[in-house]
Amino acid sequence: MAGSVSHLQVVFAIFAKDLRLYARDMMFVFLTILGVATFATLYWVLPRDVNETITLGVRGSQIRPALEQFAAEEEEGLGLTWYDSTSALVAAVENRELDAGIEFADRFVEAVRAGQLATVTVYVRPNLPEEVVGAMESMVREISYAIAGFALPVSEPRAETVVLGEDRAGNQIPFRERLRPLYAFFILIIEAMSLGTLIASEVQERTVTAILSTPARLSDIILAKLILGTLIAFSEAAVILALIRGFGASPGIVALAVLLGAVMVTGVAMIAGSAGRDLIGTMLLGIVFLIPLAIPAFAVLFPGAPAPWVRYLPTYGIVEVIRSAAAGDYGWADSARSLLLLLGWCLLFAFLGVAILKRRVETL
Amino acid sequence: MSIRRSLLVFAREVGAGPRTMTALWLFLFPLLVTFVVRLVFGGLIDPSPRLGVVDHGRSSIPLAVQEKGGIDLTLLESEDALRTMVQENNLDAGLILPADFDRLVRAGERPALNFFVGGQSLASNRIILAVTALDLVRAIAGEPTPIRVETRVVGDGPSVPMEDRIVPMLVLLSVALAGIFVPAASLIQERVHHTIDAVLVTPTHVGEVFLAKGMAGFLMSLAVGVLTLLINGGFTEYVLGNIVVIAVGALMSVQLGLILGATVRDIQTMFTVWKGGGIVLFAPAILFLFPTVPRWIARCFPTYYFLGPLYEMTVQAVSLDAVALDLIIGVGISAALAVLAGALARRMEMKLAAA
Repeated sequence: MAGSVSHLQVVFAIFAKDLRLYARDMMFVFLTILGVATFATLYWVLPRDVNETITLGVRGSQIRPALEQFAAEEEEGLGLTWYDSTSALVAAVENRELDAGIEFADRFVEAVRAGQLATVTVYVRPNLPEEVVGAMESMVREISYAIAGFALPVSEPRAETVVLGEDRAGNQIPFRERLRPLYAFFILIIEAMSLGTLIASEVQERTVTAILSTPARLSDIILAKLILGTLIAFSEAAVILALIRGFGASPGIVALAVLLGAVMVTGVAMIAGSAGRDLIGTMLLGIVFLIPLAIPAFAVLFPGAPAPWVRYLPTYGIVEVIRSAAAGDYGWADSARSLLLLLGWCLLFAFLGVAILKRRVETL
Repeated sequence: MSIRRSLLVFAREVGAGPRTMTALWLFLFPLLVTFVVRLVFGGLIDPSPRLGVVDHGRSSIPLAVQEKGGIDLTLLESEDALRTMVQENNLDAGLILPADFDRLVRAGERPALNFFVGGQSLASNRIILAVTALDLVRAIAGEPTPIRVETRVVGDGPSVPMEDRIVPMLVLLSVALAGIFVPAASLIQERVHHTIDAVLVTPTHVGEVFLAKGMAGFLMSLAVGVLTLLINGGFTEYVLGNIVVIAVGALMSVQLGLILGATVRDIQTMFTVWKGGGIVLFAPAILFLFPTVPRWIARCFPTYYFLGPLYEMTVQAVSLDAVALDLIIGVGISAALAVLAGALARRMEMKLAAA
């Protein structure tokens, strides 16, 4: 009877056994659902816009035309509110309704034009960054120079040459969108660590040697683990991406990238699960892998292009694909480089994971 | 309960502990996290405006920008490199200063201001950099300032930069990792490998084993907490007070570790609980990163009663007296958790005896 069992059936049987082990662990199931729900909730509750406006309160009707013209030139950058009394202005700054408040004296314009030294008071909230405080002071000085009739000591550049690249003022990418790759990465890596501990426990408790006394070969066990790890990591990452609209305009490309990522982290799980001397060692080894793998997902949270070395890290391909797909107009040709690099890392980790796990089991 | 027997078990724990990879990792962890947070993620939430300057002469502007503070200045040699960096949003704005810029300004010849911004830069940063640049040019021109600007800070609360607000989270991470993992993992491994059964053949009680493992975890947690605060430059003049606050955090973490060790089935489940329950521990630390979030939300979480005092002592430099009430509540929570841990120890002893 045993002779008639194909290796495919053996692989499937081991896969089903491991899957049942996962499913029976109600704590794991509950916390997995909780984790996915938490990430999805976090995405939807985070602000959908970027606040790039300095909110400024002003008291001083004489200055209103000049300031409104300045604010209009700066479009989104300056939000003006006008106040009739100093106490109302100060209260608004104290209550953090404003970043700063500026009080011009009642006869400010006449004083400046007459060459008298006028005083302007700038009220700021306690934790306002020093560069904003400095900018408010500079702006007040600039307005007074203009009123006093001092021309700019430089000629201004032409408006069309001032902004380089696509002007996203008022249309910035919100932080929650930039977090998408991080969510997918965390789900992938957390599931990899769970699989790593499962492998470690099977190795240490020698369950794996018991399975080898059946018609199952070592390659069947490893293949079953590879499929299980990939399937669980991929399905969870796909669910979270679907919930946070992470597939963007290119679902096929994102799905392929996440699948390759799932294979890669399964390889990491096999390395950590085989190399760790005990379960804690496995977890700690997993964290050692996690740190460099996490860098690309964090790097895209920062403004600017990531450093060149970050682009060669294993998880950069997943991050880049998810980020670009969200921006739209992202085809297979655009994603080819990222996907090929990811494929390379995926093959390397899968090969190393299989080789190390095989060697570990053989030494039992 | 025999203190002597607890100390014997404790001596065994201390003797075996430092040789494990766990101990090594727990001490390396704060260094690694601090490195990552400081060097890689330090400016994540509060990025300063970034200005790039190509100075073909010896203009006073770059030095003046540095002296002003609050603006990240990058000096570049090539105009093309500057434009590329601005276009790729690696800088918010760029300024190209010709060789004789300052002289031309002073001579009233109104040279062109070669200033440009990146399309992805925040509108607020564009204003800051533009008005700052103009102000500095005015200073070079030497025109008399027609006004006097008085700046007044109004409202409560000191100015706290992000890199300081993040310190309590790093300390919590270290303290909780050591305080929870060391006793929990040790207890679970003893249960899984049945070595605790062997210990109970002797006159030693489970409660004494708990106490010993708790002491080992406490010392480890306190040590890595102090180390983390030290390498992050968080110690204030109230050094002893700082250590007392970390000790309360270590005490709370150890009780949680003992409860976890007594209740979960195996190490895998312990990590799963950590994965899911970590948010409850770390919520106050995350909330501290956002000063506008009302403090009462953080107060709903038990770790606040060690993190709150730690935050106020390290960031706001208050004395121990000022945070005594929160700290006492923290000790009270730890005591309640200790009672629960004691009950679990008795239950475990009865189970083992019945088995």
